[in-house]
Amino acid sequence: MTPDPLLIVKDLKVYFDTDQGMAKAVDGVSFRVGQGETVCLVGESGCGKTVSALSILGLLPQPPAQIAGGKVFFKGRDLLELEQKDLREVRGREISMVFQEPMTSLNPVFTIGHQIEEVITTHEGVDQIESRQRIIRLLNDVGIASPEERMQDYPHNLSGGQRQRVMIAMALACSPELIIADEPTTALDVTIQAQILNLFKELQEDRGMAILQITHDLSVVAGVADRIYVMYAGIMVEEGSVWQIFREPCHPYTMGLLESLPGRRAKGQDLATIPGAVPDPANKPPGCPFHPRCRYVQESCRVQFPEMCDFSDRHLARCPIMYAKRKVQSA
Amino acid sequence: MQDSGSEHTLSTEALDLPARQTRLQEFWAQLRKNRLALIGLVIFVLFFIVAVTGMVLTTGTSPQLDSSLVRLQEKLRPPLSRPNLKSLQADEVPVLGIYLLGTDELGRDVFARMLQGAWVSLTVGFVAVGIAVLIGIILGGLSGYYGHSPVRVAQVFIAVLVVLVVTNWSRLSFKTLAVLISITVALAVFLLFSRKKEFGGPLFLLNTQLFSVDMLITGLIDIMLCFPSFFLILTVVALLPASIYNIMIVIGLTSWMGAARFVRAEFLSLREQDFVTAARALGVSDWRIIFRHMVPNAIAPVLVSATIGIAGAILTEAGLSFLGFGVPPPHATWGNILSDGKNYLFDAPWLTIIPGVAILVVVLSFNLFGEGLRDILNPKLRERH
Amino acid sequence: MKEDSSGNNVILKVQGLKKYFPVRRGVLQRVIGWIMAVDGVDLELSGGKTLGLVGESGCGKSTLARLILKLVEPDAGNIFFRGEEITGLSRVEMKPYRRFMQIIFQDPFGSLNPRMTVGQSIEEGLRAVGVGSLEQRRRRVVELLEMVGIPALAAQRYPHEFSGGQRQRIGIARALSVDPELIICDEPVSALDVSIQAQILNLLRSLQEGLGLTYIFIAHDLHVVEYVSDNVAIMYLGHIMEYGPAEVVYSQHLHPYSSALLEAAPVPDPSAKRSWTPLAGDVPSPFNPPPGCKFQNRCPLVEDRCRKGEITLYEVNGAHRVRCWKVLGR
Repeated sequence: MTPDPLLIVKDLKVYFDTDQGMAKAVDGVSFRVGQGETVCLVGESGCGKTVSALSILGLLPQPPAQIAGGKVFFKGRDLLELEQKDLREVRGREISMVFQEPMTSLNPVFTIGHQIEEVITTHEGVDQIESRQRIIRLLNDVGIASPEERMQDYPHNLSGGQRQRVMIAMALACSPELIIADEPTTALDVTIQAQILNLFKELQEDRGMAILQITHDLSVVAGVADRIYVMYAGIMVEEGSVWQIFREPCHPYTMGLLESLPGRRAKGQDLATIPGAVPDPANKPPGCPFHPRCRYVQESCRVQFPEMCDFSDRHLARCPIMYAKRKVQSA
Repeated sequence: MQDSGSEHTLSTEALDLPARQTRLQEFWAQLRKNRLALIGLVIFVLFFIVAVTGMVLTTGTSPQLDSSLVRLQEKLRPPLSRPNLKSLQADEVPVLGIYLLGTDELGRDVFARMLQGAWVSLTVGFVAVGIAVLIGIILGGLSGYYGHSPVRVAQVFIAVLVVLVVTNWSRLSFKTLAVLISITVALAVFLLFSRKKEFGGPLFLLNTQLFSVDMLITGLIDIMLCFPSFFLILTVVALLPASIYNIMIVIGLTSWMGAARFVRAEFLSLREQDFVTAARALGVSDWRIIFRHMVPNAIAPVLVSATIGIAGAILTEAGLSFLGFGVPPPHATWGNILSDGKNYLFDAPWLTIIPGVAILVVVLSFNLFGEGLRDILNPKLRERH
Repeated sequence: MKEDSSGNNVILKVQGLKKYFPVRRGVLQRVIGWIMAVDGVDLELSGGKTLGLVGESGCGKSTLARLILKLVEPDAGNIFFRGEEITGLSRVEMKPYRRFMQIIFQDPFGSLNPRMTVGQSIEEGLRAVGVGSLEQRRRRVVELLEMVGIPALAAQRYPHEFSGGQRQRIGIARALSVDPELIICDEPVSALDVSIQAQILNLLRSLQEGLGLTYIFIAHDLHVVEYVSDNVAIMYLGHIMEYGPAEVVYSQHLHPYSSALLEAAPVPDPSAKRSWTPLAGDVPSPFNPPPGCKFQNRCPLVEDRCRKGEITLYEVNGAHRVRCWKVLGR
């Protein structure tokens, strides 16, 4: 672990003004991404993982969203303090994004070559011949066969997997140090998903960039992540290395998530479930937001917001109850 | 199963639903946030009240406000002027004791005429759009739901025969009528039994598929849209005896295409929705699927286009009356008040300004309300999960 | 499949089922080719069991579901329900069979009519099979809702007031309303979060045990299919590539596509590091596929003879069948 991480998000708060009141979509989230690391933000829909990622680059429409607090340091600069103009310099050049829907994130009326070129010329004053060479190299890098011809194609000529490859090529165009990938393989078929995940891995080995991947799929996370942050109802409930999270989860929510995966249960046995449903972000329960669904719930959980507890080496979970339990067990 | 089921049963507290809101309450809450739409609605309601009271006050053998009473000695009096009591007969004195909106070139009370015109505008708007929406829903629905069904030669023959019989009912001899009707019935019977069987020779020809229902109806819509509709209306109105009902019907018959397109588009997407598939899998009848499942979901955009369509119909009627093709003269409409007033634009500007502003305000209010409805009813613009 | 047919508990039998959708172009809407969505599928399903149907997008699994439900007319082949052929039946003749086969959908938001209360939606089925009075129907709705774990007071609410998992339960209640024997689950948990997914899977399982239901379970999540299925069919471009008991297909799969698919599935275990090279190429479009094996352009074992002639499902042993001659050494 490098002493100086690339991205530090500190106590980020993003609220949405809705009919039902102030929805605290992200309510004090902290995480860091080190150089060359793959970090995964994991959680179910509505837990605030996408909102956190979008607010890093100031991509959330404000209003209805408002950044209610926190800091986002990228290489020592606070991105939340930057002017739009300076932020645009960061986007695409130093941090770029890959989205979930390869169908809608490319503009259907331009060729893919043109769209990649746009990214390059926006950030770097290169001439046409050089940018053309770079596009061909990029498309080659992301595994698109015969890039000279493909770059003349429009998005509808490409399959879903190829479009996602083009999106990745666009993200790579200015050799960013961090790529934020929001559910990059969720819309893809299993065999294509494997191709794309492999591509990310190869590119990371070649170029050494960091990847912040946002996903709900724990199976994907197990294969790619170095470090995992688990989110629930707008807060971080657990963080740790991939081994710590999968081998010895500490937060009851993480445990529940892992147990409810069908791959881990024998047939004919009931799957373990987490009862109930995710709370409405505008109407979160007091105390620990997970307490109505938690099997280890105690009186204090209903009133007191839990602190992050340090379980072992950089393995933290927001559950004093489990912390006390583990202490007793190990003693 | 019941015992193990209890484990999965959600406790009632897990299902904490928000307070129950009826659709109407929800609609109202949304509307209150949309300032312009609310203003539109208020003006619309005012207009409605004015039109109805206008109708009550200006009709009958001895109306409260007589819109056709001529007082030549009091012509072109400006608004809010007092009548010259000396020159008037007792029954000629305006009921309000004042010419609220002035008088026109024949000394008729513009206020009374405007009231009467409001009712005309209202009925023309609603009846014409009612006809248009009805045709639109039926044709659009047919096209959207049964669009893929082919139209066969025999069906075309039947349609032609029916039209022949109906239009020439009185002119044809009994014998020819009998022959035509029996051919029609024979074709219909043939159609009923021909679905599954294969035929050779001429019978095969009868069973040949010409085009689909969808092609027929969209073709009809496209043809109707090709006509400059205002001139189409002008032509038809010129041929027909001038009456307010003919105008309503003609406007209705020439403005259904928008509604038909909306309904068709909605039906095409609703057909593919899972809840419609589920209803079909449950064995729910076509009729019930169309009217219970699809129409309520397709009606929102039609309602929006109807609201805006009313404004269009009012404008069309005013335009026709202005050109002198509209409602015949003794009857006042905003269009012909405006038309009469244009000759006195500089001497009596209120004669043009009052109906002009009235048309503007009413049409604008309908448009605003329609736009607001679109925002409120469009589920895409609303977050609800 | 042989063993199954000897037993008399066969609930559904499908033979040589085909559905080609014409692709039309131009002003004259000339047919320029066919999408072979389902291209000759044979299946046999015994009562109380679950058949898992796996495949990538465009493999024809959803079309197959709709063909079996007779929501789409097949172009060729036969469907037998409890030994009676239902293939050529008209809408009216089909009606008595409707109640035996139901469907649950993927999208919990599109599967319920937004303008109907939950109670009304469930009642539609009861009305269709002619469950007597309003009072009886109301009682049954409450019963059904409780069966799927939704409080009775939900009947008067509209679908938008419920979460995805709750709507999926309501969709299940609607399917159950007509006492079906076979339920086709078309990706019932793909749109749900993991914790909710487990709740629905448990519910489906306990309903199967309690009511003796038969499922056809369509999904792209291979772990889910492994967990729920007794038999598994792997589909690719309208063909069944491999069929057999779930344990056999998952542990001793033979077809190159099955191997590629099953190995590509991510495993929720960090120690299962990926060392293999994933299957190259994209899923080809089902539009005018080449003759011969449908998997030929991605197959690592492809030979010249795979590009000609039809390959059938070969028996490996018992119920296990594979559509590939190469792996069988033929």
